[in-house]
Amino acid sequence: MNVIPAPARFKRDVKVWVDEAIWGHRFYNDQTPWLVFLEFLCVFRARHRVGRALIESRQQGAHESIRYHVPRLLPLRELVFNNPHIQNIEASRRSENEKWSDWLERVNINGYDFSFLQDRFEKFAKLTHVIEYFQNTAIEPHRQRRWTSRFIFPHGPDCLYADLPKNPGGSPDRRFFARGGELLYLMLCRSGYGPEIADLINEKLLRTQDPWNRVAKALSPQDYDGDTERVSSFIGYLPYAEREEYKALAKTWKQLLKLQLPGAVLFDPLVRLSSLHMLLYMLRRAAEEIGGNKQEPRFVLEIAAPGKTMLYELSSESLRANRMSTLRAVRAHVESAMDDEGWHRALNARVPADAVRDFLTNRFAWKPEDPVGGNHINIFSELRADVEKRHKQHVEKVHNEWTRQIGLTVSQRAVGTWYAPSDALLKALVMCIVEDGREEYHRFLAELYERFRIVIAAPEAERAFGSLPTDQHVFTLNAQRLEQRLRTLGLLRRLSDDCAYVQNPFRRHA
Amino acid sequence: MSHSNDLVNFLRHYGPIPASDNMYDELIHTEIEHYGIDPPIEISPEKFAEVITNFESEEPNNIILTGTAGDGKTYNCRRVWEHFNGDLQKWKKGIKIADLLLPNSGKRLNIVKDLSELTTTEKGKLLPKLADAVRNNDPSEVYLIAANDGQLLASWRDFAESRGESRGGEYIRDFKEIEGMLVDEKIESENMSLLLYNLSHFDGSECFREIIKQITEHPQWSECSGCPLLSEDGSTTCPIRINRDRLRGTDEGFSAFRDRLTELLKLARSNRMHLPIRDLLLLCVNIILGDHDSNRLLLTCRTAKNRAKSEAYHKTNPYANAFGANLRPRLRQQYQAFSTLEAFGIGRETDNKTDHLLIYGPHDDGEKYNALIGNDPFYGEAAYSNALQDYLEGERENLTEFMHSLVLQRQRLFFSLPPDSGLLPWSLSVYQSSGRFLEFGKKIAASEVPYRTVEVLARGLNRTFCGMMIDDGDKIYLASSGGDGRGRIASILNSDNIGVSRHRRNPYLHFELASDHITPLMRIIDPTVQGNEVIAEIELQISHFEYLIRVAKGSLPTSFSRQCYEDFLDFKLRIIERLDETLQDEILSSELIFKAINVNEHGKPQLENIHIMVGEK
Repeated sequence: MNVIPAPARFKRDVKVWVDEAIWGHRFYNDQTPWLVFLEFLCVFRARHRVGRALIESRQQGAHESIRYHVPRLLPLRELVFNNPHIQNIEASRRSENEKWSDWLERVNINGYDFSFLQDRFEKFAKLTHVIEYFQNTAIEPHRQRRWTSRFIFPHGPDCLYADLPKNPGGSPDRRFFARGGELLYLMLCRSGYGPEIADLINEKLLRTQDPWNRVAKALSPQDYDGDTERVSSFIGYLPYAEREEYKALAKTWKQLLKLQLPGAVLFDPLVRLSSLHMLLYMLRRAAEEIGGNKQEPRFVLEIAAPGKTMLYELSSESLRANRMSTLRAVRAHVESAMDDEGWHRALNARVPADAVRDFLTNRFAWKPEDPVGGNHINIFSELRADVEKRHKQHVEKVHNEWTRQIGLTVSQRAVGTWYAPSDALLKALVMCIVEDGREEYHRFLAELYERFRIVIAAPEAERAFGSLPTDQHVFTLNAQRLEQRLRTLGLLRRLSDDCAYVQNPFRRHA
Repeated sequence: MSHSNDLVNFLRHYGPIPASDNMYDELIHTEIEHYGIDPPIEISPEKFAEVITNFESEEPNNIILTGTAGDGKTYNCRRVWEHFNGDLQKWKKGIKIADLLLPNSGKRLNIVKDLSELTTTEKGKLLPKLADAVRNNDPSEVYLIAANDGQLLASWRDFAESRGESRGGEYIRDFKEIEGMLVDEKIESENMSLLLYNLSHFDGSECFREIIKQITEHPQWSECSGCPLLSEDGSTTCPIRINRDRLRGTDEGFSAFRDRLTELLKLARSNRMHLPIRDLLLLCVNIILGDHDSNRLLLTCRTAKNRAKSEAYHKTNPYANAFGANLRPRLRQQYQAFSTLEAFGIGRETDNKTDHLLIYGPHDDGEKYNALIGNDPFYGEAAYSNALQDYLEGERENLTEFMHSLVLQRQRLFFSLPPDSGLLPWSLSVYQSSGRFLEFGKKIAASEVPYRTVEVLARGLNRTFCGMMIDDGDKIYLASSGGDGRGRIASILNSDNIGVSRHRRNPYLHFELASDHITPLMRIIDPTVQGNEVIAEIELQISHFEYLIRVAKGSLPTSFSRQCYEDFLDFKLRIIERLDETLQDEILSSELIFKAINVNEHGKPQLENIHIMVGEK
């Protein structure tokens, strides 16, 4: 196995090292797919500045040791997210000079002098306009987060900054930039396609000369030095050196980044599909831990129908199974300790309880809050309870949270939650999968399964389940509904009663 | 024995029967002989002559015919077989691959009349030979294959992939090329000896005209003479004859009914709804013979006499028959002809003027009412006046019935309004701009693109692009919403440099016709690129056209707005990407200028420059 040992510094800081041992350090439910992506861009940008973006060296058998620095960019953030008076002042009937001076007085709470903006914008109204633009295009504007955890749209490298606690001078609490982006970064690094993707990112996503990037830069004082108050971190832990999921993820990135589209349009599909790949990684890792008859993950999608369909049952069933699998993985991981030589040695020790406690705390970097007593069985269940409690608090919730965010599930009151795709997700999938501008519909469905384990029609259901779990007709209708849906989205064209093609509205650069 | 016309008996065989019947061609052939129909109803598809010419040449190409079931693939094969003196008895035995020697080339022609009849093993034998023939590797054999496109692609792909990289992967390349030809609607190939005719691409409306002509003008209608329902002066009370006359029109050849039907088919084609010949025959026959109160669905001479005797013309209404009203809904759904026409919502949609005439006409405008409704003793006044009378007198118990008869009258008007009636037939359909759409296409073909329509379309486009009620169609305002570009309101102007007529230096909006010769193709052209490069293009199907016109008029129809909105948004993004590409080398200056766009209360775009000193070099 190509598992890399975890850096000791991380094990020190956690209560028990199980979630992290299985999936990495770390997945966290408060970090939405967009925030994973933004954190990734921050890491990328930092490493690009030292010429190492997605080309990180790693000693044989050791984890990458990457220290990266992200600016705080507080002046810009104050202006956009902590600037409640600007609109009122602009709306007031005062002279230009009065507006400026009134506003400068009120905004100047954290010690920055914003008077330079008067030279740069001349009219107060124009500054207001630009600030509103950044507010209107901010990431996840509907979420009520502290202002230090709000982000402007990543128009370019100068729009990227660290997530900060309520006191913006403090050190990060890792709530919203919880290292999911670091894992994404490591995955792409280890995919084997790092340099190629790095070039594409710089060319399409993080262009210094992007006008809005330059405006964002112009909102900070000219002598503002982001490096003096930057946030520094060591990158998180990703256990496996090589995996197919990294390659699949890289393929998706390459395909999307080569589309002939303004870079800004690519963020949405990249955010969705990156998270989908990461979810698949989580499920496959879980299956490996559980062992036995290793089952491939599957997402049975119900395409919205006028009435309730059999597919709904299968879909919510597959959601339940996927959600359960991470908890089962955690249990299996803990229980595997009992197959260890160390466990048996401890049982034969002079004081087995002490020896077992030592063995378990050592093996799982376990730091129980209260002293654990009783015999070895008590100690073990105490450990398992701690691990499960911790898992349920955050990592277990990731699947639900992310699938909802990327448009893979819907929830309805009194009905529940099940897999059903949103239009935006469907479009992202078409943009990614469909090469040469077109793909025959059934092959498209097969590819959806091949790459994302998405089950919509009968042939894929048969592959996923071994045999059809229900009447074939149910799946046929499901596929027909998807066809209709893609058609309304302008993504499908029927040639005859016998043949339909899914079409990608955007061409790819050769 | 009462009087009966064998032509009527024969036509019934074209009526609503399962469309997937593989024996269709054979069956009709037998019936033609049985009833002694002469001349037979025969639609020579446009391409037939070309197919024959090809096989008569010294260097014949292979030909593949694809299309929807009912397009006449098998029929074409049989005609080719007959043309080259193939033995008809042998054909009738149902031979899967028939072969004969071609006159001028001396090659052996192999005809596969239906690829789906072949077993996997048979296909496995055929495809390698076919693949060799299309790349001219076999000097002695040539093929004519009829196949459903999906199946053809699937078997060819399997075959090509099984050969993998052998011969440098040329089988896979060939397959890709054939797939491309099919999807891009190309007939010829540069690299292969192959002609690919998709019979679903012919213009159904022209074909339908021909079908109507052959059926309504058939000499054997003369066998009606002597029938008690037909007077010497040609007047008649027979619903079959009445319906036939309606479709046929005046002796001068004018028929509003026929013209509107063919226009509907053109629009359907532009929306990529294709009706195979089999469906067109069915439609024509159902209009003439459709009967609402019969298990047999279609009139015979005997039932026609019964209807005439009891004056039960509400059961034989040809305008309702066009939508399959004589079929039960479940059965009706099975026929594409009816579902396609149904989608135009004729009878359900209306405008005030028409409804006013239909309801208050007898009192308000007697003359017009008589000219348009009262003049039809079978399907107009007589079928409607009682229900209307009741309604006007306040009767509300049978409201559904009245509404139904109103729908029938709207349908009748749609199909019968003369050009000078002052009423607009297309306002009785979902696509109210249909007339304008068809006209626009004709003008493009004649290179006389009407500025007024372009201006309206440009206005609709501007409103869609910016998400504001802009009242300007003299140029294109291209604006971004910022962020990921999918916001509805776009207030940062990318360009107001795109004109709506040809320009020598700046990009401009330009219209051509798509390959179906009906649908306008909206393009943005950059004249500074050699050969007038197309920056981006979008096909304006009737739904897109209608969308832009309605948006320009100030309303956003929800029914088809989502698809169209997405399509235009993608179109915008493609233009922005390409324009950005051409602007890449703009020099970085220390001052940035943005243009914000807004509209004032008169719909006039207001541009505001935002200068920002970025203080960098």
